[in-house]
Amino acid sequence: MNLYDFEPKIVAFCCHYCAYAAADLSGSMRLQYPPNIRIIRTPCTGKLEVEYFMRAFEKGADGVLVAGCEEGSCHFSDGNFLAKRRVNYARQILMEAGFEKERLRMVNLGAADATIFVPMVKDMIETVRNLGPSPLAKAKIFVKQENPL
Amino acid sequence: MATNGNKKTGAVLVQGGGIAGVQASLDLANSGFKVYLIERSAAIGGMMSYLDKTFPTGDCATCIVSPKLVECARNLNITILTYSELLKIDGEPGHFTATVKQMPRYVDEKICNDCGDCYKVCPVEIPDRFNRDLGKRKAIAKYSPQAVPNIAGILKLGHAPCKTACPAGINVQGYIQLIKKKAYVKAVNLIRERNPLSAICGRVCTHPCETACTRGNVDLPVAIRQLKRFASDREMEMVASGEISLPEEKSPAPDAVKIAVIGAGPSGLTAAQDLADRGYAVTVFEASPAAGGMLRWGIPDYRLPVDILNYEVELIRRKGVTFKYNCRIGVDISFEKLRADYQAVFIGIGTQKSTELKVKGSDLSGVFPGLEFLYRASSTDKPALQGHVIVVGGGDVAMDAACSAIRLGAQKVTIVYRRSGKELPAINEEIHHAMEEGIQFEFLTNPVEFIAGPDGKLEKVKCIRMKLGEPDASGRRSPSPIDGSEFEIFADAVIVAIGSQPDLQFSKAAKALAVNPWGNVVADKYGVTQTPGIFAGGDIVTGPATVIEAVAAGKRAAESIDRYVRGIDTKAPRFEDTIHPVPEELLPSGKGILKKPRAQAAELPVSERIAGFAEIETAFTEADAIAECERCLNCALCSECGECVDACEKKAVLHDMQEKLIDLDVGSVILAPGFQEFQAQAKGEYGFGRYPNVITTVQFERILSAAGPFHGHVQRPFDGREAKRIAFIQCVGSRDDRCGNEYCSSVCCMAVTKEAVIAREHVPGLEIKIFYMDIRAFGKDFDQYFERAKSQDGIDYIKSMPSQVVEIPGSKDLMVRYLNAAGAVCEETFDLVVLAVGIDPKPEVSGTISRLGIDLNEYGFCATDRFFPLVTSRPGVFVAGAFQEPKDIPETVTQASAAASMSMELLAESRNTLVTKRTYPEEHDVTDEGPRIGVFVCHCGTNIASTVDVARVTNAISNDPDVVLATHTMYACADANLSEVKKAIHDYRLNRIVVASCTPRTHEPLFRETLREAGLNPYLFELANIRDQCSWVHSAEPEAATEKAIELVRMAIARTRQLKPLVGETLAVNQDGLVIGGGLSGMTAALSLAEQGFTVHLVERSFQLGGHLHDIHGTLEQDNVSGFLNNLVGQVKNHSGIRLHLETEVAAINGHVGKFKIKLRKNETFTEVPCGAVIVATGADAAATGEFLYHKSENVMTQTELETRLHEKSFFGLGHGAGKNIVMIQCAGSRNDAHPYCSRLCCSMAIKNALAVKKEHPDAAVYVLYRDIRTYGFREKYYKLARMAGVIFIRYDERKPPVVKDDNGLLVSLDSPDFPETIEIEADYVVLSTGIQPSEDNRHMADMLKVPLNASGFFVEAHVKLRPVDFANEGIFLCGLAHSPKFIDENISQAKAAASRAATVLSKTHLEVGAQVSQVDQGKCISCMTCVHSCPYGAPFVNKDHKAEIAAAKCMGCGICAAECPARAIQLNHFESRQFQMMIDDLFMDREITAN
Repeated sequence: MNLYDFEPKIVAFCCHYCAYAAADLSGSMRLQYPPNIRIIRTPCTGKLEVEYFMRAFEKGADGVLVAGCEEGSCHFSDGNFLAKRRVNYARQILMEAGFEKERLRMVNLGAADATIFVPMVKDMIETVRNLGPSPLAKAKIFVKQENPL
Repeated sequence: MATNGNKKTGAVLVQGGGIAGVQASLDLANSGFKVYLIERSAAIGGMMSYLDKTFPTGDCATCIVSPKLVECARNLNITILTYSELLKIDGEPGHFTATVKQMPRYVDEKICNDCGDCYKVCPVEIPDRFNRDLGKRKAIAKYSPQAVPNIAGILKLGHAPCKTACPAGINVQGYIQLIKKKAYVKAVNLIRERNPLSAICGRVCTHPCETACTRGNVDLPVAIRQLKRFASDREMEMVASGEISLPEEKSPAPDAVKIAVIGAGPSGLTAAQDLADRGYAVTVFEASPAAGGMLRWGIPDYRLPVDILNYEVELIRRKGVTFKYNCRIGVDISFEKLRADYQAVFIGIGTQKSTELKVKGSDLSGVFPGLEFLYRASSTDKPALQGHVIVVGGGDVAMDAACSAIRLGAQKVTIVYRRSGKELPAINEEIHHAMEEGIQFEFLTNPVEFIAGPDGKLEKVKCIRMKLGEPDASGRRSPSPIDGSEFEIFADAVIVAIGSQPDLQFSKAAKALAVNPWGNVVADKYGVTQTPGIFAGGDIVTGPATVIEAVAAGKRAAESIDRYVRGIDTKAPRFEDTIHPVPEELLPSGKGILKKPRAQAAELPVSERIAGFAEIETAFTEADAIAECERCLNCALCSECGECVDACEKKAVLHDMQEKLIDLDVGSVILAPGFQEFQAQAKGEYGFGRYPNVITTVQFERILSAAGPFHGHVQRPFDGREAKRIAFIQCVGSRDDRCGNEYCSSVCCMAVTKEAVIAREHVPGLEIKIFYMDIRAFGKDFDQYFERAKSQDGIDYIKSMPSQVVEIPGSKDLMVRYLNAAGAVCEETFDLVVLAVGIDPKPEVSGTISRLGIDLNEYGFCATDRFFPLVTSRPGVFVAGAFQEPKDIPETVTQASAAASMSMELLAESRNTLVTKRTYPEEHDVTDEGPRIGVFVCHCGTNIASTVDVARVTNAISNDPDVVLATHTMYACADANLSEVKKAIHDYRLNRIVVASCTPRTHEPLFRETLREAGLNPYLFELANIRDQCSWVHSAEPEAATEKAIELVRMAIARTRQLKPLVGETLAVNQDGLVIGGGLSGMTAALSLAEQGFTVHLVERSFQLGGHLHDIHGTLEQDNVSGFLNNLVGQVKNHSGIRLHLETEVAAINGHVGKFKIKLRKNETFTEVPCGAVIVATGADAAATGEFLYHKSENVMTQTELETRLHEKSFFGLGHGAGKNIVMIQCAGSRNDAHPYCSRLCCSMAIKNALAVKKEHPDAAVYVLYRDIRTYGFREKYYKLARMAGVIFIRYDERKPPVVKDDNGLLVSLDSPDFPETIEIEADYVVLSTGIQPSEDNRHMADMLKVPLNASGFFVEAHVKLRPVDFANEGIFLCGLAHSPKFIDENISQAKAAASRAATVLSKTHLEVGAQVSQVDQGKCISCMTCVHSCPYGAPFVNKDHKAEIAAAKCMGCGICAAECPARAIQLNHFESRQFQMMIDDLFMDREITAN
């Protein structure tokens, strides 16, 4: 399916208390991962509304990653469970709209888990790379690229 | 001291920056007290920062502790002093002066911003103590990955033995480390700082450094001399190849002070260089035609090629030194003229004259004085030799003469030496070379006459054999001739090399100078002679010595001359006084260091050598040199190589920082120094320290941590193989008299259970065996956690203490030997053995604290009393945490708050006297302005700029809409830049700021502060994380990283456009408190608040105060509970600040933090009490049981009933105990499915009663039937006493509890895992430990308070670890049995902790409640109540208009309600949906995709 070089663009919503800290620690430890993700900080994944995920896809995201605290460790009691519920709901909608549900993923990790964060990001990027551009983005990229055939 | 009359000092010193110290500091600072938090290490966080996860929730330790540490560091009223220890406390409670010693960090805390540049360049790798030696760290590094303060520090122990042994004090470790990283020029420069003759000494030095090298204790010393030569040669090669050029020629200033140096030997050359460096005009007068002295004329070319000497002399000449050759003082120029023409004179003429052998014939032709021989050999006038040459002497000159002789034509050379080979004074290399070249040795031989032949020339040497006697003054055995042993040797020439002496001609010329009878110039160790202006050094002062000693003398004299000229005392402290050897006990022991061969430099074959004067030794290859450097053990830790200084662009590294003493005026002191883990080497049978795969629980914690040495992989230290079978051994250093630790460490059982559970998450299928004595899961929700772990496949608990761990050679697997339940010896093999090391007091802290006049208990912990757990023996000094008694995190945090409460009670009158509050200019109103955005992009030195093209990022966004200013800066967080930001806000009328730099987690507060200082609302700021989440993680992809950085900054700009100024709400606080429950906890909490000066309502349902305490008569330690209770009740009743509401119930609770309204009901009368904070201390009930014939037989009773009967002396009537059997059944009705928790107290209570029975009725038999005996902490002692008193403990099978039958008397039968058959005991009395159960009223109370209960029915605190007495709902606090079962001392601590927490609210007249809170758009609200149900804090409520509203005081800013609201009526301030949307839209702008 990859007829041209495709670099996925992925939005990651990271919880301030855990995943965002783990992303920072990845930097402190100089761990390396591909530059395909853009992190948006959120006070709690429980703040994330389904509309945010949808808007990202609508605007052209190839994937959306939601990274919250480990289950049972939410700074605000159960925000990450609410997020999980919404992510699952959004995945349902995405499927109905013809997207692969793997483009939206929720993960849980702690603030010290840089070594979990990095493979997780890499895996997300690889997953989306294998899926190819988002169905919405494909059309646009075809216009931009000269016909590779 | 602050001038506040006799008022107490409103400041507290908290010693120890672990979680206890941090919590105490936060409570105090948030209640109006100034805090000095002193910490011995480089960072706060203590033991918690080592932990991976915490039990029983599995929370990430870093996640929960980091925010507290950052809060502590940011608090304006907490001064953190790292590297500090408390030396003494003077004065009285309320008026102490504490003296603190602060050790240097060597990094300026105010400047360092943790860019990490220094870590990268530091060549020194040392075991990482933070990772418990499992990994390596640099000598300059952060203490831990997430350290607070987040700055570097340098580890230094002093100076390494190589440096202290070097007469010139060369930083040997430093240049070795530089060579290791191939920084050869820097290495040579570091050598030349102390020794200008680097290449020379690299060849001829006697290297005392190598003799001192610690590596010699492992295998062989590091080849330091050859490394010096290697680096010097590299430098010369670089000069030769043009890679670097020689330094420019300098000349002294025309008016420079003139100094004369006599003699161009090593001391003169060194002095000349140093003086030229200091700007003097130096002239060197040299009698011979070239510089070098003995280096040129005394050392043959095959050891020191003349080119090398010329090169280093040239370097000195280029510094502006003038050389006058062939100029002899007293002949060519008079000494007096020199004195007149030069302001100072240095004499470094050496000892030029060979010592004469005073025997007959020494003036014969063919007899050469050694030095003259060598001089001629080095000149063009080389002596021609043949036949047999005899060299007399055993020093370096003798070896040089012998080896030169063989090169000059001698067929045979024999060295005649009067002592034995062992005493030869020459260095080993020279002796070795001489032997290789075929030089013969005649030891214990001395010439007595040189005999002429017929031609009048030398023909024979007559010698005598010698014998060695007693050691002489030099320590060597003195030789004496053996009578009649004379013999003759034929010889063609003799070279006499038995020493050298000053040339007396000079002292004749320099009449003014004091010389000793041998002609040596008299001077002190700094080279100062008795004649002003004349200085001397080297062999002329000391007699013949080494090159390096001459260099050192030249250096010292140069310093003296400079001081003399400038009029400074030559004896004042100088370089030599700054050298501090590493204390011997801190030097590397060599244990665990693998032997590595010492590098060998290649040498010319003997045949080529003796054919001429070519250099014998070659330089190391680069590979050999670097391998050799890696043998260095870095004895001093930091090598002071200076790499970090060069790398730090902010100039934050300060190697000369000194320790300092600080006096602090404080009103009280809280000691929270924590503990150290038991040093497991002391349990030799387990092999820790010898077997690499035997580790401690602390090490395992680091292994589990993703930020640890193995990034979370469960692997063996020895070979990195993933562990498949792990054994944990409990109680290593606990419950063990033999290692002096009789007590139980309280935390290990749970810690190991947690580690086992987490390890199995890391390694699926991991097999774990836990060897234990009793599982002590006594805390809240602990037993449930333990039961879950036990039921997991793969975790096996074995009740047995292994006797030995043996390493299996080869595989390094570990065999654990233990007795199984049947008593058979078992042996099992594991990959890894983890020792559950106990809690020990830190020896260094215990020492300090006992010097402060504070009593320690028998185990070295702080001595306290069960009724006064926080009070030390010194008034005004309180204690908290594991130093008081081993305990886990929540109890530590509880005690910390409690100790803070004790300080607040003592210093109540001085609250708010020493705290400062920052004031800001009035905020500029931006509501009607369009966005005017200023963007500051940070280089972070090279941290961002080396990957991200910062200029391109700045340019890319500079023309974006609303961007008024875009600029980039070296360090955005530097003071200078912050001033620039403020100026720009003013100059460009900026109303939004974006900084693109590191992470908002650390730096947002700083920039927000800057905005406030510039009169801008702090919420108009956004940080784009282009370092931690961009340049650092994409360093190999600069192009992509730059693109990403541009997008990140654009997203920040997009968000910033939407930002709104936010102002928190200010609430007036009702400063009264209310306590629900008049038992021990409620009374203690109320009294603490009242003592702090607050009015407190104490509400008690019953007619009397005291609760369950009325049923308890004594503690395990035999303290009198009744007396304590009566005293406490009296204090509460009589306290003017306490409003007592007896026989009163709480009917309703309304309001929020700062402003509660509590409706009270007494009989049928209702009153409403307003208050600012509520403490829940409603207690719990004694658990009942319907089993074990309780209430069916009068001889079956509970422990409490037994205690009362013992107290009333009504047990056994008049004391007929003989032949009576008392059977106690533990866990009666608890730790089962109905009551899945442990009641914590019962084991101790049973032991207390058993001891009481045994005391009164020693002949009665007492049986305790138990599952695990949980006498944790110091209570363990009483378990032992009970066993010693004859109490019989029998374990029963938890699946089959004992059965009690009444069949003409009580019969107890049980199955024990430790006995093969069922046991039956005829019991006269059966005593049941039934435990504690939550009050049935808890549900009602929880509903009123809107707080949760756990599965067992106890109240749930806000956070089990770090907020143990808070509820999630602000302003409500929890203590006592309502929280969980606990002892008297624990209840007291918890009650005081609740008071401390409540005081953080009550001490304020106004509360600032968060600006970042949710808000409801009333117009959109559909009153569906979703927000009310979803909020974890009960913040939303339905208002008078039937619309949802959010109480800002309760809102924690998570935004859950906003996301849940189906009508989208709620927005979380600062994280509004629009702000998210704009970031998303901006990110995909280039894709221009629309839904249609």
